Amino acid sequence: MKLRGLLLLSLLAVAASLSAGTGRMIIVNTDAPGVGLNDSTPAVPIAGNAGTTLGQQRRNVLEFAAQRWTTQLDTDVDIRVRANFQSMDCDDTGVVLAAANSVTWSANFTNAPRENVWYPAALANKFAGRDLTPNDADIFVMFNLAMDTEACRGDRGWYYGLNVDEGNDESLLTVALHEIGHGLGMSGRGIDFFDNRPTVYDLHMLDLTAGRTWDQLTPQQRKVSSTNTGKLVWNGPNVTAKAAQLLRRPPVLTAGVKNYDVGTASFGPALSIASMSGRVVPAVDANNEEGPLTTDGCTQYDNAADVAGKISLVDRGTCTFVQKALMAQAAGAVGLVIIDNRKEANCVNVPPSMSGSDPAVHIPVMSLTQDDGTELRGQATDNTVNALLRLDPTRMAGASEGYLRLYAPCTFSSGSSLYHWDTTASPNLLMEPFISGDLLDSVDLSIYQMMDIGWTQWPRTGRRVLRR
Amino acid sequence: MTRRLIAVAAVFVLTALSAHAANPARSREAAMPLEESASLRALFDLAPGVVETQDGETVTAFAMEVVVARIGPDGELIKGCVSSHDEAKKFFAAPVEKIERAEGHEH
Repeated sequence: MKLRGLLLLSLLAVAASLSAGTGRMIIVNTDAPGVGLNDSTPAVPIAGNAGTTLGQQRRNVLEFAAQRWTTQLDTDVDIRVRANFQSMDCDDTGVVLAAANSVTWSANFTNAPRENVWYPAALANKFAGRDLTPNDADIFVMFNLAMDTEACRGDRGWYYGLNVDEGNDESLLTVALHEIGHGLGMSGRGIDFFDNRPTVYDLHMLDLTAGRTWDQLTPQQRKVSSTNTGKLVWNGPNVTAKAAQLLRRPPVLTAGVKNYDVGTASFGPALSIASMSGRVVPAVDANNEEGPLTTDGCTQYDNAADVAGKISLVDRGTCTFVQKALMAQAAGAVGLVIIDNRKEANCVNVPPSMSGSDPAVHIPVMSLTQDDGTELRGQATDNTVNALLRLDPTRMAGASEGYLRLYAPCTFSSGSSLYHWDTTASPNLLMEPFISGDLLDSVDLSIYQMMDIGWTQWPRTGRRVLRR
Repeated sequence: MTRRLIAVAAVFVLTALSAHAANPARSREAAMPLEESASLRALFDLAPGVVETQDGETVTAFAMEVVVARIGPDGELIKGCVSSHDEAKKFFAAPVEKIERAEGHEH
């Protein structure tokens, strides 16, 4: 009787849960006893993670990541994530951190929004209102166990805090959020559709040059589109609307009668409207070990008196961006423009973003493409070119024609699939390919990408979900 | 029938993904370049197949997203996310300076 009562209560609880549309994301631990998620090695609680064993801390991170996603997605069907840690490649040159995707993809099921379109398992289940493949999980994700071994990363490894203060370690939380995002639907088959049918993702990949989405292109056209830098975008209405609120206005440098697109730095002051103006003066420094060019700005300027109170112009290379900024600052420059020292032939080149950090940098630093920089340098030789750095109120950083760009590098594949936002987006986004270190633990615009493919936002009344 | 096929496919995926799970991490002395690693290839060794089900069609081993990283001169990881063995090979075979440049590091 008691057992029956408990069973009834349990069923009522489950029913209440389902009727509220609160399907959970459940981490299905497939590690063997004592390994990975079950590692019993004692661990000291860290940054919101109260786990006292390695395995417990790992589980806590994954459950935290799962919660991050599911508190913002509305589904009546539980999402099961099969997770484990296993040894993957690691050597002196590189490491495999994690792998993930949807376990299955389904088409033409009950309530499928479109015929002959592949949907990832969790989303297909949501539409169908039941688990279409009850014998397996919906998403799989695995992490490299070797990361925590001396042989792989020395004294570095996974960071298990529930914040983003990973220091020299690698945030398991950020990688887990990113990988689960792929499993929920930021994924597909690439140029060659399986069985000639697109995924739901392909329906929203718009090539601005062709004026068509990927499901409307031939494989050959999709191949061309995959490297159409800046012109391959996401056309979903939710991302497009939110991008206008979230993305920053890109800075532009006006010199003479021309506007130059500029790349930004992760250090120095934030660029604001009319944050800097002045004459542009090419810096001259010594040709020495720290910088073999007299234009690289790696050492103390020879023409500091000319540069003081003006905008310094130097070439990229040899020393760090921060070092160049400190040298320009020491010379009294009010800003620094760094010219890229290479370009990709037959590509749309974009001014590089610049990494680094040093709180001592207090002047704005920006970059130009090699072509633009060469042109500006040509004008600046007599020190009479005035420049104004401002934000362009008509555009968004990382968008083209109002649409968020997808990553479609022109030639060199620097390590990305198409299922990422472009790296020119600012602020950096979770689903960019490089998984930048300055991310917060939010799912930013990616939650709206999920809505575009059919997920609905939790709660249905529409809670503000941006946490940046 | 459907369940059995899905189970078989799931076992295939797990087997492929776990092919080298029992091996210790590749040591720093490993001779073979990472881009030639068999376990890296195994991650992408997908063989998707459609399974007719009572409710639509289901396909397994469909796609993969792998987070990879290069180790920069300062020991920091420079990450990328790839969906094919070819992309992974390019990532690991390229000079690290080129990867760094693409991500906005110096050089």
